[in-house]
Amino acid sequence: MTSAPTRPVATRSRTGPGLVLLAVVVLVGVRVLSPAVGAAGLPAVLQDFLTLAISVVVESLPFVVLGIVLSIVVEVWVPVGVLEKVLPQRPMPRRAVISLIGMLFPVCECGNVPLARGLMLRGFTPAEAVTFLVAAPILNPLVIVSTAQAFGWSGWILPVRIVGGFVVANLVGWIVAAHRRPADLLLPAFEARCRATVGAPRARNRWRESAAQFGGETATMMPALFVGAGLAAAIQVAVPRSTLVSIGANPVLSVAAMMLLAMTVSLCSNVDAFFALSFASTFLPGSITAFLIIGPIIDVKMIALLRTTFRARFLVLLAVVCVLFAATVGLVMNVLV
Amino acid sequence: MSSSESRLPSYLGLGSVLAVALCTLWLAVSGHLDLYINPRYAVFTIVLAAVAVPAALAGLVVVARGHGHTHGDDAGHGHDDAGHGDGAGPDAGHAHDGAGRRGDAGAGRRTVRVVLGGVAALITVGVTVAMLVLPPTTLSARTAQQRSVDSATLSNASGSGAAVSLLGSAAVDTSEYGVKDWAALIRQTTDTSALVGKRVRLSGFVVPGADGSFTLTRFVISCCAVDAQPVGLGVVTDGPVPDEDQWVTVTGALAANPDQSSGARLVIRAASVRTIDRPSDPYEY
Repeated sequence: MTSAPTRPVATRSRTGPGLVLLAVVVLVGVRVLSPAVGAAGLPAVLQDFLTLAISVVVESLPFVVLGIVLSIVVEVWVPVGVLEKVLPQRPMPRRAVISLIGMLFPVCECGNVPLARGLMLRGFTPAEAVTFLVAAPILNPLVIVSTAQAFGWSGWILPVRIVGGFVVANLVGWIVAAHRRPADLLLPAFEARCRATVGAPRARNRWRESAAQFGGETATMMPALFVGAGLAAAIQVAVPRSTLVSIGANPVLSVAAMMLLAMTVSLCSNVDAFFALSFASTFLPGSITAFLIIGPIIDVKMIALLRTTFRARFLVLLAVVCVLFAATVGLVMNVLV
Repeated sequence: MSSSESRLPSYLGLGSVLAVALCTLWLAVSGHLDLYINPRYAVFTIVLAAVAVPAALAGLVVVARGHGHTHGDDAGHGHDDAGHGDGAGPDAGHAHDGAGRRGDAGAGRRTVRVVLGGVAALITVGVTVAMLVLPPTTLSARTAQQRSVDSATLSNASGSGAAVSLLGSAAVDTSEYGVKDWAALIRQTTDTSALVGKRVRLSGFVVPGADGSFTLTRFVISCCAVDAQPVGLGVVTDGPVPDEDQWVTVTGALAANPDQSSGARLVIRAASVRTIDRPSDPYEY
């Protein structure tokens, strides 16, 4: 479907987009005309892999689209200075407020990556964007409501998830801010783009700029989403889940098992509470909470998405800090509660 | 990097968004969206897919007119070589300043990145084409076995709410109970005698077990197919055990499990096992 012309063409080209449209129309035509459901005769392993990968894509795409739309709003439509004016000037309170902005955005982790990119293109520092990135998938209204639906307002799981998300986000933001050169954690190309964009005059045709932005962000996010979905599906097909689930009662191992499960299943944070609920009777509450804290921050799909913007060393830092934090919270809860 | 090459990521991104969004809308119209996600999220998914279609078309129009952003960091796995083109000059040689900064050492890494970007593009195209060309289907018995049927208790099953003692007296209507509800009930109850003899009629697919028995299985989906949890009830039958993955309707009565070593104390003693086509709503929620 990317069969664009190979020879150099004029800047104004209809061929490439025309071929893309043609390919999509042909594919949709095949879908509409061929049998609606049924087996394609593939081996069960391959068929299940595809079903799982497609289901991750179908589930994540709306959140990615929502995230891109919000990032376009932040970058192109919100006037310069409006966001910046309401934020405190000093770094720590500023990051604390930014981490609470997530309460206003019903975006889960995959939509957050484009949104965090939009914030950095607007001139937010990496530390601030990272704080938002970690906090927003936990401190967002849909996540809080769905966690409350699953586990109720009483009990420790919901408050610990909310407070834990806030604390770990500000912890990561503080570490990034203390870094010698936080910009080194970004991919060079994205950092160069930030430098070029921040302070540059706004595009005059905002609609055209928005459409161009949508093209650019989907170009970055979609391959990452598909790779993440493929990885998540491959792990699901290859590793029997029963091995993880069978160690639910051990207070230490169960925390590790639930965190591994969260990192491999790669669910959206908006919905992971219901999945965690199905383990509530076999696993201790601390292990469930560790699942609910680590899942929105680090998983295989998220790593693929984060790699569009951040260098590997940042991903290692993020993973180490968040895994240690979630494990500590889970273990303390398992011992005390 | 020619202008047409620098647009490839945009074509890939916009084309895959458009294809997936259109396929999502088709799934919704034809009623098969629940093969992939829990119906709870259907409205949200449909609305955003409907937003994505015009947005992707607008993106394609802008790219066609040569106004597109053709940033080089676009091809998924770490394409950090090119800079970015602004609206006025999308391909003004910014690829070179990326390469120049790093010098010779960058050449090998650059190749790796191109390969990784190519693999990401292949996966994108492959999964998108598979999604549209292959008919959507359910997960197989293989996945059910691998996820160990009944490993997790499902706290949201209707069966977990009712008092077991009432069930025997037919005071509680169990005709709406699915495989999930019965499985949860049987796992949780300590007083199984109240349930023995209870008549059930359930549909699910077959996961074969020891001779003369199989597990009548359904997947329960809390969000999307990735989190599918198999739940099942043991079935003992005098007739032949149907093939793996075959959908059946079992009519019978609950009975004590002849296999004492099993965790489940009740099974269905089948009066009849009828093979059926896969239902349009194969998952429970």
